[in-house]
Amino acid sequence: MKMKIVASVTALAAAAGAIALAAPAFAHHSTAMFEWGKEQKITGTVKEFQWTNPHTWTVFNVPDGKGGVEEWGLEGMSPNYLGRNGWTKASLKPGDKVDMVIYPLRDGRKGGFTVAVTFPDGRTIRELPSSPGK
Amino acid sequence: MKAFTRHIAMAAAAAALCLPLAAAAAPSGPQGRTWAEIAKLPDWGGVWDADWSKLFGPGGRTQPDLTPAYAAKFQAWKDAQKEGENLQSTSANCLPPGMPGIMQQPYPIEFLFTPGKVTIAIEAYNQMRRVFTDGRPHPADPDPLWYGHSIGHWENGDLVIDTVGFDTATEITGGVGHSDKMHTVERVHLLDPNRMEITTTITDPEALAKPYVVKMQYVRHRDWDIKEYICEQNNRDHSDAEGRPSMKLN
Repeated sequence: MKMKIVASVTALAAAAGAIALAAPAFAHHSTAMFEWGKEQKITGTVKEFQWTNPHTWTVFNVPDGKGGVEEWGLEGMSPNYLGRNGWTKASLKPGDKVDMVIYPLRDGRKGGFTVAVTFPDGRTIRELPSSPGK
Repeated sequence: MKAFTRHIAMAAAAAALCLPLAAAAAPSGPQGRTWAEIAKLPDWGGVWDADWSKLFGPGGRTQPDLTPAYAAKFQAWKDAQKEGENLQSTSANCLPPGMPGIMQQPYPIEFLFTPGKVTIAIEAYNQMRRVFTDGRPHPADPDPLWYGHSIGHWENGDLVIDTVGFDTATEITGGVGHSDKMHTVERVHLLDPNRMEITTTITDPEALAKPYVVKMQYVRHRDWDIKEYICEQNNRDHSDAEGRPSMKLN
């Protein structure tokens, strides 16, 4: 098992709508570990936003309903891609209270891939395009 | 289009005759062997971002026609996917894909001209390819390399890159390996001043039943720079030896 030349997450963003993709995956890795395309919304507070290759990473605290928090780990597009599409290392800051749309991990752990972020004032920044029909 | 067809036909014919492809094509125009000659080469300045529709859109990718031996290997690879294997690649472990996959990444590339050499800077995985345009031949017995040994020449403003000496660790496409006899010829051509097409013809008498042709397109961005891409900076993804994926959360 070596390189896999299929499609990439970056391509999903580029190929929104008009282009039907044959095999969604990453350049860096495939999407096999995610429930790719199944949107899940989680609400919480940004603990950390790591502006790093090969992927950005958000540590995200979600209230557990019992007075505590559950820590989620959310992969995102690369800073190279996001930086060319309007994001900066300060797009998410510790303490930001936001809604996250993610594609969750298949294994049920608290993690996933970041699709879009909505701030309290309604502003939304996307990493990936909306699902078809939305 | 006719030129491409002719080129592919030449590649196929040359492969069939076991002739070096470089011998089949004729250098024409400036060859960039001196700074003065470089000034006469086409302007390929700026960086060139991959056109994702060619990478990932419908009709953008085709499967190679394999020999029976390699078709059987590919089928076994696909069968193992049903068992959860071969779903992740070693690029998830930050190993760059090598050729030809490194030329099919959703990241930009840049061409640097110096006397007798074209260097291709590839943002994905911070990689470099060196194409010697000083007229040297391939080594008689090349070492196995992920990018092989590349010699190039100019044909009326197209750069033609001939590469041999590949390490068999790389793949032609997912699950399709190759022998040490793989041979690639890339024609780098401007379709218009800001759109580049790279047509790659891959031959391998052991793996491929006929030449496999891949077309990529790139769009010029004069105001972009190649960014660094340190894959090991914060990589949480992993493929095990059987290609099962995992992700480290903390």
